[in-house]
This record gives sequence, C-alpha cells and structure tokens, in this order.
Amino acid sequence: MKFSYNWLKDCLDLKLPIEKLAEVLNLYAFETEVSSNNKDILEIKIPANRIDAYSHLGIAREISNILNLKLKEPKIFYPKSQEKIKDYLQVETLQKKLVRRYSAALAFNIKVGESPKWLKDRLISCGLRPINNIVDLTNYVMLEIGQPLHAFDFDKLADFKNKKTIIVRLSKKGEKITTLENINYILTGQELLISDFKKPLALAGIKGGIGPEIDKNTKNIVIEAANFEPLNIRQTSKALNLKTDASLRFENNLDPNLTTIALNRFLTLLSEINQSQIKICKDFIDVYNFKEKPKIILVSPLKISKIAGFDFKKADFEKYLKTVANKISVKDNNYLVEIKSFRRDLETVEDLSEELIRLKGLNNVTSSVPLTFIKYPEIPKIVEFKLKISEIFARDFGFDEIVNYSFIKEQDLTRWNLNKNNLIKLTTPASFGYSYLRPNLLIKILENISLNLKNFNEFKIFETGKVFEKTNELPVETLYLAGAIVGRDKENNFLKLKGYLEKLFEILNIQDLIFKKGVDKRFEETLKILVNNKELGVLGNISSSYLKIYDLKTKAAYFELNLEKLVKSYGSLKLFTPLLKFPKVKRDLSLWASNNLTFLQIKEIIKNSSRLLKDIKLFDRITIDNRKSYAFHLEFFDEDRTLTEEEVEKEMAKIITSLKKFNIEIR
Amino acid sequence: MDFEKYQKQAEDELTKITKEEQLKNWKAKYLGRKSELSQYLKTLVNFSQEERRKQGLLANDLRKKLEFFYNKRYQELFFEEKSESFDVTQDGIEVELGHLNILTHLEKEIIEIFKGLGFDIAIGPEIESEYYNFDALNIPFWHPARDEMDTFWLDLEKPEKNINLYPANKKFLLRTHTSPVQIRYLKTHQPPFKMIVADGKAYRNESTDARHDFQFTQVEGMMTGSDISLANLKYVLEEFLSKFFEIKVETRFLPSYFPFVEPGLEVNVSCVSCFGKNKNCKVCGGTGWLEILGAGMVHPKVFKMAGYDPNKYQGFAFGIGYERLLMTKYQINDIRLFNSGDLRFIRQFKF
Repeated sequence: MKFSYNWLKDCLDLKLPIEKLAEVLNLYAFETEVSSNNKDILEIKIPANRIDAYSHLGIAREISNILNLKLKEPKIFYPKSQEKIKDYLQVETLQKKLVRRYSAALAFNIKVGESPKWLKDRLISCGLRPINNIVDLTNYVMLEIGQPLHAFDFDKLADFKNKKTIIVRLSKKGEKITTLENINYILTGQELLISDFKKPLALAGIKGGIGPEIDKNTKNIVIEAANFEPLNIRQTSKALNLKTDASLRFENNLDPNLTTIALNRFLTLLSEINQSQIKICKDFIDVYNFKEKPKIILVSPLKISKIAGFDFKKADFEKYLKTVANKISVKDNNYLVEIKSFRRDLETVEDLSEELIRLKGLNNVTSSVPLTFIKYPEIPKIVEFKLKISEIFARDFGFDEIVNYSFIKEQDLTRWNLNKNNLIKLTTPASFGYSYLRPNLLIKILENISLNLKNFNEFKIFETGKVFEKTNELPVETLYLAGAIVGRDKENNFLKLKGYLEKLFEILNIQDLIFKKGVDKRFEETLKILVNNKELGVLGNISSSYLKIYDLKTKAAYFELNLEKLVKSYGSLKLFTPLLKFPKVKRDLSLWASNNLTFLQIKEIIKNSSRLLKDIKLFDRITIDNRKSYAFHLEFFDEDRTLTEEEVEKEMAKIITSLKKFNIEIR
Repeated sequence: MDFEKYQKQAEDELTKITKEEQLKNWKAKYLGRKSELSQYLKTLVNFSQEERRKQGLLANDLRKKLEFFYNKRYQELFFEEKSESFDVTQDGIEVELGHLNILTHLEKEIIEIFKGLGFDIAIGPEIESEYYNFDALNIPFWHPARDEMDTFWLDLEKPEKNINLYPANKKFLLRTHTSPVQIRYLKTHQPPFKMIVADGKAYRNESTDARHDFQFTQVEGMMTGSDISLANLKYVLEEFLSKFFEIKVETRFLPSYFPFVEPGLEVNVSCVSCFGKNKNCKVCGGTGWLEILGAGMVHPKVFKMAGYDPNKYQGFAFGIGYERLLMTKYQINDIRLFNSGDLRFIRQFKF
C-alpha cells in the first residue's frame, strides 16, 4: 500500500528523512520500502489483521507510538445549516447482521468541478486517478482516515412520499447491476445492495452503480459512510472477482466508529474547497445495528516477560499499554485493559504481547538456551530408511539422485494409457500444464532420461518420492523408490540393475527375495520383485514403444519398489558367521545354454547335484557362433575338514552327469 | 687362499653382469657350496686353533662382503629397472561417483542438527484436508491468508464422515506448508515437546520464476512447554543456522504476520558473505541481513484447536524453505533447477 511521506508529516512532527523512517517501520512495524520511482512514497505491506493501519492517520499513529511523537488529529470544523437530514432522507437496513452501521450526510448546493492541485497530487502519488472534486474527496478521506465513503447524487434517487429512501438489502436472484466501469453483473441473491425504491444504486462496500453517480450538474449529494459485515463483502468480491479499495477495507473488519469521523472530515474538506453556497444538514443519519462491546484483556508484565524471554520493565509495560488502551485498571500487578476499538487485531494476551514486545523493540530479545528435559528423539522408521536407501544408491552404487515435480501432464494420460478414474486431478493446473498427481515415478524418470541424454550417453539415476492414487475411500499416497540404468546394451542394463537390487537386499538383510517373471506392458522383459511372497515392486526393460515416444535412441532398464512395504521387512540383525577353518576348493565350469531350460533352471540342476558345492557364481557369458555360453565359478568345502582332490573331482563328475541328463553340453 | 684376489675377481665379474641367470651363476661360483671360498672353509679343520680362528674371521668377512655386493647388484638390476616408467603428470583415472540430491543432503543435515538438539522428527501427508492446512491453524475459510497461499485444490469428493485423520466435509488439497503436521503432532503428543517436520514437500499454485516454484520443501519446527520463549527461539535458530552456514551467525527479528503465530516474526540472518561490511554485497544487497525464514510464538487458538489450555502452554514455531537456504549458501540463481532433473546441476554437489 502506498503512503505519502509529506502527508504523514501533516499528522506528525516528523524529522526523520524518508529512508530512515522506512528502516524504523521495518524494525518496529511493517515491511517497508521507499518507492523506487517516487521518493515521497513509502510502499508498506500491512498484514490483513492491521486494518487500523490502512490509512495515513493509522501509519502516523504507529510512528507516533514508536518514536514517541505527538499525533495531530485531522481538523474537523465546518458551518452547519439548520436543515435536518430526516426531512429529506431515510435509510432502511433490511439485513441488520450484514450492516453493522450505516451513516449518511447530506449537502446542498455543492459545485462539481476539478479538484485543487494539492488534492489531485496526493491521490495520484498514492495511485488513484482524480475524477471530480466530490469523488476525489471521498477517496482522500479514505486514504487519510481509512473509512471508504460513497457519494450519490441526491436528486437522482427515487422519491417516496416526498422523501428519498436508501434501502440496504440483499439482491434478488437474477437482478442486474451495471457498475461505474460499465460492467454488468447478474446477481445471485447473496450480494448486499444499496438501492432506492426502484433500482440498485451500488454493490454495498464494493463499487458504485450507474444511475445515481455524481456528474458535472450534480447540486446535492448524499455521502454514505457505512460498515458492513466482512465475510459477506469478501464473498461477493471473490465471487464477482471485483476487488476495490473499499472492499479491501471492509473485508478486513473495519472499525465501525469511523463512519461519523469520516463524514465530519469529508464535510470539513468539502466546505474548504466548495465555499460558495454550500448548505450542510446539521446532523447525520446513523443506523447503528450492531454496537460492539469493548474488548477486555487481562495482562501482566510477568506474562509478557515469559513470552519475550527478557525482563519487561513495568514502566515500559505501562507506557506501551497506553497506546492501545482506553482504560486500564490495575490490581496486584494484573492489568485489566480495555482495548481501543480501532485495534481490531488485539483479542488475547498473546496479541498484546506482540504489540508490546514490538514497540519495545524485538532487538531486546537475546538468545537463551531453553531449559528442557532429556529424551532421545522419536524418529519415524521410514524417514531413516529412506535416507539410508538414498545413501546406498548414491554412495555405494554410484547413482545420481533426482527430485522431480509430483505432477504429470494431460498428454501423459494418453501416452501411458492411464485410467483417469485412478488419478487425482488438480482443480486448476499448475504451470507447464501439470494437471494430475503422478501415479508412478516412471513417467517423470523417462523425462529425466530424455533430458539428460542431451549431455550424457550413459547414466544411472534414482528417486524416492510419493505416488498418488484415487480410491473409493481416501486418496492414497505411497512412498516409492525407483531407478534406471541407461545404456545401449539392454541385457547389461537389466542385469546390472538386478545386481544392484540383489546387493541392496543383502545390505538391508532382507531374506526371501524372489524375482519372478511377469508381464507389464510398460516393459519388454519384466521381473516382479517379491519378498515373503508379497509383491513389492518390479524390474523391467522399458518398452521400445515408450522409448520411441520420447525419441530415445538408447535402452533403459527401470525398477520401482514400494518403500512403505519394504520398510516392514527391514530391521533384522545379521549375525556373524565364523570364518572357515578349512580351505575352499574352486573349480570353473563352462557350458552351452539350452533352448529348453532357463539359466535359473540350469543353476538349480548344478546346485542340486552336489552336497559339497556351497557357492556358484556366473562370471562370464559370451556368445560364440550364435550360441550362448555361461561360465561359472564353483566353490566346494566342508566346515569340518579339508576336501581331497579326489572328492571334488567326484562332485564335478556328478554335476556333469546330471547336466548331461538334461542335454546340457559342457564346453 | 688369496682373499684379496678372490674378492677383486668376483667384483670385476659382478659389474659385467646384466641378466638374472648370470647373477645366479655368479652366486654359485663365489658363494655357493662348491665355491672356492666354501671349499677353503672346509679345509680349516686341518689348521691350528689360532690359525683356524684368524682364517675363519677373514673368510667370513669376505663372505659377508660378497653377499652385500650381490644384494646391491641384484637391486640395481632388478628392483630399479623392473618396468618401464610413465608420465606421472597425466590425469588421474576418473572415478565415477553417485550424487545424493542436494535437497536430500540438506534433509540429512537438518535431521542431524535437530536430532542433536533433541528434537523429535515427524512427518505428515502431502494430500491434506483443508482443516489441517487452514482451519486448525487459525485460518478459517474467510481468512485473507487463504488467498495469499495459492492452493492446489484436488478434484476429490469431500469425506462424508471422519475417516482416519480426515475430518468430514472438508475439502482435499496439496499442503501449502508443513504446518499441518504441527496439529497432527499436537493431537498425539502432550507438551512439553520439541519437534521438526521432515520430508516436507509443499505446493503452491503460483506462476514460476527464478525465485518462485510451485513445488518446494520446508522444514517446520515447534517447541512447546510452560515457558518456552522468543529468546529460546533465537537460540535454536542461531544454533541451526550457524551449523548450516558453517560460520557463527546472528539473527534479527522483524515484526511480521502469520495467522498461526502471535507474535509473528520475519527472521533475518547476518549476511554470510560480507558480514554487513560491504555496501555493494551482491548476496545481501548491502543491508547486511538475509531474509531467511518466518517464525513466531504458537497462537493460543492453535493450542485450543488441538485440545490444550493455552494458559498452561506456550511455545515457538518456525518454517524454513530448503531451497531458499541452499540458494543463499551456494549462490544458486534459479529455484527451478532443484526439480529440473538435470544431472549437470545435480552432479555439482558432492558431499
């Protein structure tokens, strides 16, 4: 919000240059900057709860409290006629709850024209466009006091029994209003309207309508200063997408006491610039439907000290308390404070503490060690598990960790043939057309692969993150781990990734891991990952058709694992295995792959043929003349004795015999 | 036996030797069992005792010398010229490293620091109920703060009845901050306690630029008790920030406003680049202070909503953006890099 430094000087005996003033406001009140294109203007960010500061007088009051300066209240003095407003105008408020107060003044024989230069200059510097002296004055008073005013051409209001009547009511469903900008709104019955007997005059608290507006021939004016229930104004402003200086103030719970002050100030200024024949009714109409009781807060210096963490001196305490109090009564160091009505934000002792600590200066808060109990922190297992796995992949396995957006785009639905019913949609899409929560990590990882192939030929990446699913009950979010190896040789990619997974499970000491051949249309070769017969994830070579969609000229193996399920199997202690006392005997065995048997089956045959065979490891696979060959290291041993050469040869013979039974050729 | 002549002859031959085979032969010839020296030693038994001792000492002396020459020659020939040399100024062979994402590394750091201070670690869902994200944090449906936090609302039916921790008739959204976890934690933990929220992805529907993104990460902290004060908040934040920036920093509190704290504070940290000494500092813009986080004292309404007597308990809460911290520390110029998936970015950070 824009504030003029010179205007503030009208309200205070201000000696500080504007830059220093901005610094003081930053430290003690609100985020403030000197405008870069007008050295008379302060840009101040005022929080929604500090409506009392949405005016020059309000900011001046804040400064006067901080710097101990005397506040000069704006002058109020104007000649009054003998006319009574009741003889000309009546006001009816049909929605008493929505209209807390409706005050109105009446002035005759005014002259509409251009505003004087000082008035125009101030409006312009605060970002408002001058229109005519009447409208400009309403705006001026709003910027000065904080109360929005609205002026109607008295003669344009409909007559009823020789009087003009203003009715504040809810709209009728389908009723139309055209605002001053010539925009038509069709109303729903929820909007508060200012109207006369015939037509709506204005959207209450938001915007004037075409009809009763001030024009160059206007002679007599009604000035409205009202206070409306904030929620209704906010809802209407939101529904119509119509935010104005007035609606901003009303929706933040303006002080109802301001209406008559603002009318008096308006009439003072009006009579100053419109000296000629002006005749002002001696009284106001003032419908006060909802008088608030003053708020009372019980507070003590001790309580404030406890919140601040430093000793709040009694003298300071009383000095700053006075800035917000109408009345203070003290009993045994407890202060019963009646809060001034304009301080809408002060409701509790904590609110008061904010006020007092801030005015005293937050720089008085000095660091102090909390006195606290000793307890080992509680840490969810999944948090540590996730970090552990990330470390294993990055540090032990040499993968790069990616963090992706949690969203996918509309186009991904058709690309991946996803069912909308299982996806969670955003009501309004994010930037770049992201419109659904991701149902898996694969989609984004494929985008990562596509992006990074511009700079790298081969890489290994992984991510841990939530995936989302719509169900009949609550939406489900699940923590997943996924990774990919990118390179030209698809068998190599796949088997390496499988190797990393086997090693991961070994590190985590999770037993009963099974890779089971499966089908998944996203992949060419697919292995389901099972632990204790429960499916925890999948490993596969990304299907060529998907690689093609992303225009990838390489191959990629991918896996994903449900970390929330996996964490449940994790945590058992791996005990020490005594070192072997007797030597192992090693033999190599090369054989030709079979057309009928899988690698796993061949391995099982070998394993089952010898009791003394304790370990079997593939160390080479080569293709010669289109025939595939495997070479194994075999390890034989017995825990209790040294094996003889003859024994091992016998075992080897057994293995070869069983292999031959299955027509496996030894190479 | 002429020891001197024997030694000279042996030495002369040794210098001419270049191959291992020759060296072996030399050893056999001069030191072996059949060497003249060995043979001579065998004849010593025939000498008088005194002569035997004298000759024995001389012979042994010679044997030791010859062994020494042998070893020296062996080393000259076969240790020092064992293989061809190479240019050691060549680059080392590149080791392939994996890289933890910088966000994960920060998460680890944060957990480690706060664990060290005794803070519990809590987590919560990314899909939240508007109740926890707003209402319970003193942001009722009419509150202007709801507008400021541009929210991703989800196209899901409101639950008709309370299910788990999702209250009836409240809309679903993506959490706009990690503060809802405060409430979830308060519901299951009686003050006094101290906690931080980990794994804090949060989302806001704003347009993106170098300083803003619609997805970001937060760490939320909360400490409650009967007299936990702003001074304690200052201590905890300064401890954390000094550890994070690896340099002793100070903080400065400025008044601010968040509906779920009172007083609300904007916290500045002393500039970690110029320490307030450079009027042209690019990091702090010459002010000496960096805007780093928001904090405050937990609003009494928040305690009340969670079922506690605000007269009995008070405490502080703070929220820090991971990305903001990292951008400040490492001078990263665009927040969108964090979620770009670009390995050129990810691989720059090695820890």
